[in-house]
Amino acid sequence: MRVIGGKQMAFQKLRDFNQNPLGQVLLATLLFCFVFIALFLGLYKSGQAYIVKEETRRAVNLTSLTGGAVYANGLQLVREANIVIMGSAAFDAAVIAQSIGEALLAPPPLDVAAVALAAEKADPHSRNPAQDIFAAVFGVDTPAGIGAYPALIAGQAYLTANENSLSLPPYNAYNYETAKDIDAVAPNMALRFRHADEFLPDNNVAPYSLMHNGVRHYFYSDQVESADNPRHPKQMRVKKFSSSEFAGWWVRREKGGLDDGGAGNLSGQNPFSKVTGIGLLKKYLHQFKLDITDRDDPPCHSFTTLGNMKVKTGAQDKSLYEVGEVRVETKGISAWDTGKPFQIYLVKVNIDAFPVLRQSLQTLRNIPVLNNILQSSDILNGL
Amino acid sequence: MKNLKIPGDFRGQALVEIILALPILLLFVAGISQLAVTFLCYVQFEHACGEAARQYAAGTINKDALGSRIANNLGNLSGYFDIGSLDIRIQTPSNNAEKALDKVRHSISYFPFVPHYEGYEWSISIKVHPPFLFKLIFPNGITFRTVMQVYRYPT
Repeated sequence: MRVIGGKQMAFQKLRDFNQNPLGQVLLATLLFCFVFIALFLGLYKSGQAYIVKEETRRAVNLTSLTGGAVYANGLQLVREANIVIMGSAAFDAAVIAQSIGEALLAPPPLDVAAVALAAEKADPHSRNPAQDIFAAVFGVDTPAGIGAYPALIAGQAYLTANENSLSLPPYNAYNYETAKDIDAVAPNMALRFRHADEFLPDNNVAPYSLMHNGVRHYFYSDQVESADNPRHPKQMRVKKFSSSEFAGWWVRREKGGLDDGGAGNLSGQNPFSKVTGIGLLKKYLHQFKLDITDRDDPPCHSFTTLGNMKVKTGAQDKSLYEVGEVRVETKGISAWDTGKPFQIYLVKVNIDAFPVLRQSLQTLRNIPVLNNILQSSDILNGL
Repeated sequence: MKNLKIPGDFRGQALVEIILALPILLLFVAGISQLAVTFLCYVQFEHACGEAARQYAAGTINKDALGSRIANNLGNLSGYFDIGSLDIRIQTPSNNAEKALDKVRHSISYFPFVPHYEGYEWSISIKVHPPFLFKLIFPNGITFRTVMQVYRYPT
C-alpha cells in the first residue's frame, strides 16, 4: 500500500477541485482578476510617470525662463553701467584731446610718436574705477566670467528649481553655443570689454565673420551654411560637420566682404586695406579699454537647465531628466541701446549642431551614471 | 457498449456565462479607460498651467489673465473640469533665501532706472468631475493642485 504525504494530498485535492465546474469558474475568475489588476497597475504606473515627465518639462522650462529673465535684467544693467563708463571715457577723451591739441596744431611734419606719448601721459583713467567695479559685478574679463551678477543668475535658477519641485541641484549651462571648456558651466554672461580699435573697420576679404573674445575670424561662402533657424531664416553658421573649431557657430555677413569668394580666393581687396599704418593705429588704440560688450559677435546669450524629478516605480526611485534652453536676444548692450527691448524665448536644444559638444557627450555615454542621465533626457535629440 | 451520457441539458451554457461575465468585463474596461481619462485630465491641467506661465514669462499676458488662459488651455478636456472652481493664489516661497530675494526685488522696484525682474509663485487648484465610475468613488469630484514659480523681465 502506497502512503500519500500531506503535500501530495493537498495537490490531489486541488486537482480534483479544478476538474469540477465550480473550480474551473473560480480559476478563470482569478486569472481574469489578475489580468485586469495588472492592467490597472500598469496604467497607474505609466500614468504617474507621464505626469512626472510633464511636471519635469514644465519645471525645467519655467526655471530656464526665470534664468533668462534674470539674465536679461543683467544685460539691461550692463547698458546702464555702460552709460557710466562711456561718460567717464568721454571725459578722459576730452582731457586727452586738450593735452594733445597743441602737438596736433604744430607745423608739419607731424610727430606721431610724440602725439601718442602725450595722449598716453594725459589719459586721466577716470573710467578705470567704474570698469573695475562693473568687471567684478558682471564678471567681465574675469576667469571663466565669474562675477556677482552671474552668481545671482545661478542662485535664482537654483531657488526657482527648488520651488518648482526639481531635484537639486539643477545643472545649468551658460551660452554653451559659443563656450569653450569651463565657460559652458561656470556662471557667466558672455561679456568682455571693448577696446577703442574695434571702432575701426577690419581689412578683410571674406564675406562672413564671427568674433570671439575680441578676435574676429573670417569665413568664405563655401565654409558656411544656413543656420536652419525659423526665427532667423537668413542666419548663417559655420558648417556644423566641418573641422573648424567654430563649427556650428553663427556668423555675421560682412558689408565689405566678397559675395562669391571661395576658400583661397583672395583676388578681391577691401579698399580700406590699402590705408597704410592702420595696423599700427589699431595696435595703439587697443590699449584704450572702453565699455562692456558681448563676448561674441553675433551675440550669444543663452541659459540652459538640465533638471530632474524623481518618480517612484516599484521599490526604487527613478529620475526623469529634461533639458530646457532660453535665448536672450536684443539689438546691442551699449549705452546707446538702453531703450531697446529684449526677446526671451524657449528654444529646442540642438546639441548636434555643435560637434565639439557632441563628441564630449558621446565620451560621457561611456560612463554608466551619466549614460543613464543622457538616455532618459531629451538632450540627445538628433544624436 | 454502453453510451456514457452526462445528465442534464447544457445548451446555452456559454451564452449564460457570457451574459453574466460581460457586465463585469465592461466594468473593468470602463474603469481602465476612465482611469486613463483622469490621468489625461491631470496632465492637461499641468500642461495648461505651464503654458499659461510661459505666456506670462513671454510678456503676452499679465498675472491677472493667468486664470482665463489656463481655462483656455484645457482644450478638449475642459468639459471634465469645473472652471468656476479654478483657484489661483500667490504664495510666498518656501525657501528663506527666496523670501530674502523677494524683499530685495520689491525694494528695488521703487528706484527709477534700476531694472528688476518680477514674478510669482502660484498655487493653483481646480476641481474635476471624473467620468461616472470614478464619480461613485469621488462624489464631490477630484481636486487637482499644483505649484509653480516663474519670473520674467518686463518687456
